[in-house]
Amino acid sequence: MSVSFPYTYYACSCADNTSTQEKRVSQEPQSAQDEDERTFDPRSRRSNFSLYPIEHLLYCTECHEMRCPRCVTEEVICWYCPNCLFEAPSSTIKQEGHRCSRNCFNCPICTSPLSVNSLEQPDPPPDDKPANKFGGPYILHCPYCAWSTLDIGITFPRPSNITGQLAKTLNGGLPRPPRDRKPSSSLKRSDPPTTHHLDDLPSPTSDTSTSSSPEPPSARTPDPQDRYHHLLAFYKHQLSTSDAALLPGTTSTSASELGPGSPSSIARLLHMYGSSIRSRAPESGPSPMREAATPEEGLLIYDAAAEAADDATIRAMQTTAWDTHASVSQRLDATNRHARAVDDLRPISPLLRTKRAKRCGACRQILAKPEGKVTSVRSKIKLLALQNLPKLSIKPLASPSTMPPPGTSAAGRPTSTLLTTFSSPTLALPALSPSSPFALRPLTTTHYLLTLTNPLYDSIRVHLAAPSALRGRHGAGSRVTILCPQFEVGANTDRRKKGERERVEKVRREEAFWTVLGVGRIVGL
Amino acid sequence: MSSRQSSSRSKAPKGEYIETDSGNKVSRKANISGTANITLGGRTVIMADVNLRGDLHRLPSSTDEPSAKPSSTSTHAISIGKHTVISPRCILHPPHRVHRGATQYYPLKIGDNVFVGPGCVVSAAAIASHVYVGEGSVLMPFCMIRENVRILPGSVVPPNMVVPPGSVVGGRPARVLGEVGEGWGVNVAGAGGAEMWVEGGDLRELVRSVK
Amino acid sequence: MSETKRVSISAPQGTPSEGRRTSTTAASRQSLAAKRQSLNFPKAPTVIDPSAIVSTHAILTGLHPITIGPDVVLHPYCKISSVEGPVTIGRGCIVAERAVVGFTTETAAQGDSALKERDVTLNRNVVVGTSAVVEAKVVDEGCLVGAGCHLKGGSNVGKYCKIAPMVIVQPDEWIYDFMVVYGQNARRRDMTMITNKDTVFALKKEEHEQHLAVLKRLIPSNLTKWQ
Repeated sequence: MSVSFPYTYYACSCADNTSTQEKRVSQEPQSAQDEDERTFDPRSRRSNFSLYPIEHLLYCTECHEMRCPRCVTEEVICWYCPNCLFEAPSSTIKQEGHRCSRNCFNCPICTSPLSVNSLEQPDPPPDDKPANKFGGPYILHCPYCAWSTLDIGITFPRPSNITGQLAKTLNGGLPRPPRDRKPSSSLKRSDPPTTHHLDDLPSPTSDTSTSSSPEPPSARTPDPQDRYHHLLAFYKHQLSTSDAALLPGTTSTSASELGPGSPSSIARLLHMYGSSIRSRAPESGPSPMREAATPEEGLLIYDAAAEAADDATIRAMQTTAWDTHASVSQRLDATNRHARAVDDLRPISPLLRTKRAKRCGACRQILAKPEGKVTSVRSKIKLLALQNLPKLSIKPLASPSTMPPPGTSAAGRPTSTLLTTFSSPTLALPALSPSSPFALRPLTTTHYLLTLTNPLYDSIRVHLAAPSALRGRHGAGSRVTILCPQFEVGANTDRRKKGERERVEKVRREEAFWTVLGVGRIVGL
Repeated sequence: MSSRQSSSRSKAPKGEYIETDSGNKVSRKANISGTANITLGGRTVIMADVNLRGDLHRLPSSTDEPSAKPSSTSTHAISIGKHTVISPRCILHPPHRVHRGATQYYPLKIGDNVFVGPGCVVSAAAIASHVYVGEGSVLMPFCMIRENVRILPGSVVPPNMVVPPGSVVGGRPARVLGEVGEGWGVNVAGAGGAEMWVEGGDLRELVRSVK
Repeated sequence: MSETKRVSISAPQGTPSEGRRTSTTAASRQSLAAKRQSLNFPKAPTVIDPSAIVSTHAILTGLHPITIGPDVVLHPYCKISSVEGPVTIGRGCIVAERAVVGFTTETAAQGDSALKERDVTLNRNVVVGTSAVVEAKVVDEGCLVGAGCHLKGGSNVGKYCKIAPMVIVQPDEWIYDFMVVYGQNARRRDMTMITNKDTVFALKKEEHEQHLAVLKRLIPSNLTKWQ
C-alpha cells in the first residue's frame, strides 16, 4: 500500500449499498437523509473499509465499476507454504490444520523461521544431504533471537521428518506417552500414513471394547490434543460399531438422522476434520449415538486437579520473572492455546497461504486469475482499475525553500524525493519525520500538485471539490484551496509503441493546484 | 549482457556517476571492494556511499577436490540484474555460513528492476525481480526475497526467511503482513503525465533520470 | 612515533586498568577543542598485534590510543575512533564495514555531555555488524552486535549477548550476560547458551574461528599503514 505521505486512496462505493446499511436507513430515515446529502468523509471510521490504493482495485468490465477487496469473491487456486513454497495437496490441508507439514518451523518467540542445526558438528544443512555424515542430535534454532528447542529440552536424533519427531516428543524431551493402546477387534480401519498419531489412539473403554485390564492412567493430565484424539477415537469407534448408514452423502429424511447425535452428522463432522472413515454398508435404520462419558473418551468436565493446576499457574505468574511468561502475541501464535509459560511453547509450523482468483461480486466475472504454479507471478486474467480509471497522484510542489538542493534535475518527482532526502542519520526512522520537506507545518501554506493520468482513449472532464474547512482530529482549521476546479484531460494516445514517449509528454497535461493552509494542526498523515 | 564491472569505463569528465559500456551508472563515491567478483547486469545504478563487498567471495575449500568441480569454486560474490537501483548508504555484504564443517561466503544475487532504498544492509542469498526494499531495512543472511515483494521501511528480515512472491513484509523481525495488489508494478501510460516509474515496476526511467 | 610510545607505556590490551581510564579522561578534557576540529581523520596512536587484519580502507582515527589485539579483523571502511577516549579491541573481534567503534566527534557532540568516561572496550571475539555504532563502555566476550545497532555511550554489554539488527541500547544501560535484545527492544535470556554451555560454546567458538580464518584469507591486511 502507498504509505509515503501525500497518497491517494480510492473510495469504493460498495459500502453504500450493503444490506446492513439499508436496514439502518429504514430505521432512521432522518439520518439517512443526512447521509445522502453528506459528501464522502474519508475520516469517518467506516471509510477505513472502503479506501484502497488503486493498485489493489480491480475493474469489472461487465458492470463498469471498480471492485475493491470487499466486493469481490475469492476462489482458492492453491495452498502453499510461505517458507518452502511447496503446494500443499488440498486433501491434507484440513487434517494438518492449514499448516505446513514439511520441515518448516517458525520460532515461537519471534516468528522467524527456524533452522536445523547439528549439535555435533556445525550446521550441516539437512536439505542438502539427508543422510550426511554429521551425526549427533539436531536442534531447531532461531538465528534471529537465539531460541532453540534446547530451551524446551527437545533434541532430534535425525535431521529429517522433524514434524514427526516433534509430535512424539513433549516439552522437556520426554516422549509423548503413547495413548493407551488397546487392540479392539471391532475397529477395522485404515490408518492413513500421514497421521501417524492416529495409530496410537485408544479405543474407548466402553463395554464394547474387548480389552484386557485397563492400564494405569498416566500421571499427566491430558492436554487438549490428547483429549481431541480421545474424542476422535471415541466417535470413530461409535461409528464403526453402529449399524448406521455412514456414507456422508447418504440422503435420509428421518428426524434422528438430522439430529446432532446421529451417526451421519458425526460422520460429516469427522469428515470435515479430514480423517477418513471406512464405513460399512447400511443395514438397518440408524440408532442414535451416545455421547462421551469419561475423560478417556475425551470428556472434559470440571476437575479439582485442573483447578489446582490453575492455581499453580497463577502462583507461578506471581512469583516468576516476567520473561518466563509467554506474551499475548506469542500465545496467539502458538498452536497450544493453553501455553502460558515460555517453556510451554513449541515450534510453530507456518500457516499456509493461498493463491486466489477473484470474481466480481455482482456479475461473477473473473477479474483476476493468477497462474496455478506457486512460484509463478504471472496472471491469466487481470482487469485492473489502473487501466480503466484515471489515476490520481498528489505530490508536493517543489519550491526552492522546502526542497534540499536536488542532485537531479527532476525536482518534484518522486524520483527526486527518493534521491535527495538522504541527509538523515542512519538510525533515524525513515517514516515521516517533522524535518521531512513534505510534512505539513502549522501556519504555513503548502502547495501540492495533483496529476491525473487518463488511461482511457476518450477525454474526460474532471470536477474537483474540497470541503471549505476540514473537520476531524487532524485537519481542524485547515483549508484546502483548489486553484483549478474544472479541467479536461485528453484521451490516451499511447499505443504502447516505442519512441512515442515524447509525444505522450506533449499531450495536454492538466494540473490542479491544491493549496493547504495549516492552522495549528497538521493535516492528515 | 552482463558486463564485468571492472570493464573499461568511459570516463565522463564531471558527473557524479561513471557510466559503463552497458549503461551501468556507478557513483564515484561508492566504496567497491573486489570489483572482479561483481557483475552488474546493465543500466543499474550504484549510488554514493554504497559498499559492495565483492571481496567476500567463495574460497576454494581445502577439502574440496579442486579438479572435480571448478564451477562451484568460482569467486563470484555479487551479481545485480538490469535496471536495479542501489540507493545511497546501502551495504551489500554477501552472506556466509558453516557448510559441512567449513565456513564459506555465498554469492548475493539481486534480480532486475529492484529498488533498494537508502541505508539498507543486504546480506540476502537472493532478491528476485520487481522487489522494493524500503529505506533502512536489514536483510539478514540467506533470506530469499521472491518476486513482487515490498519490504516496508525499517524492517529486519530474519536469516533464512523466504518471502513468498507478491507479499508485503515488515517489522522486526519481519513477517508477512499482506499482499501487494494486483496492480503492483503496473505503470499505465496515459494522457496527463503519469509518473515515469512506479514501485515494483520497470525502473528504466528512474535509471535514466539519474545523472 | 612518539605517540605510539606513549601508548605502549599504558596498559596492554585486555586488562582493564582503572588508572589508565582516569588519566586519559583528563587528557581528553584538555584536548577536546583540538579534537573537535580533527575532521580529517588524523592517524591515531595505535598498538596493533601483528596477527590482526586491518584493511587498507579501515579508518583508525583520534588522539587517544587504539589497541588492537591478535586475530582481530577490521573490514574495509570500518572506523575506529578514539577521538573522545581510548579504544581497545580484544582478541578475535570482527568489525564489519561502516561500523564505528568509539565516539566520533559528531556522536560525542550529540550525546550526554555529562558522560565522563569515553573509552570503549571490546573483549574477546566480539562481532560488530555492518554500520553499527558501538560507544558502549564494555562489550564483553563473544557478543554479537547486529547491523545498524547503536550501543550508546556508557552502556555495558555482558558476555555472549546477542544484539539483533537495528536495536538501540540507551546510555548507561546494562545488558547482562547471555541476554538477547531483539525486535522493538525486547529482551530474553539465551537459555540455550546458559543450559548447554559446553556444546554450544564449543560450536560457537569453532564457527567464529573458522570465520576468522576465512576472513584472513579474503581481506588483505595493511598493518604498515598504521605503524
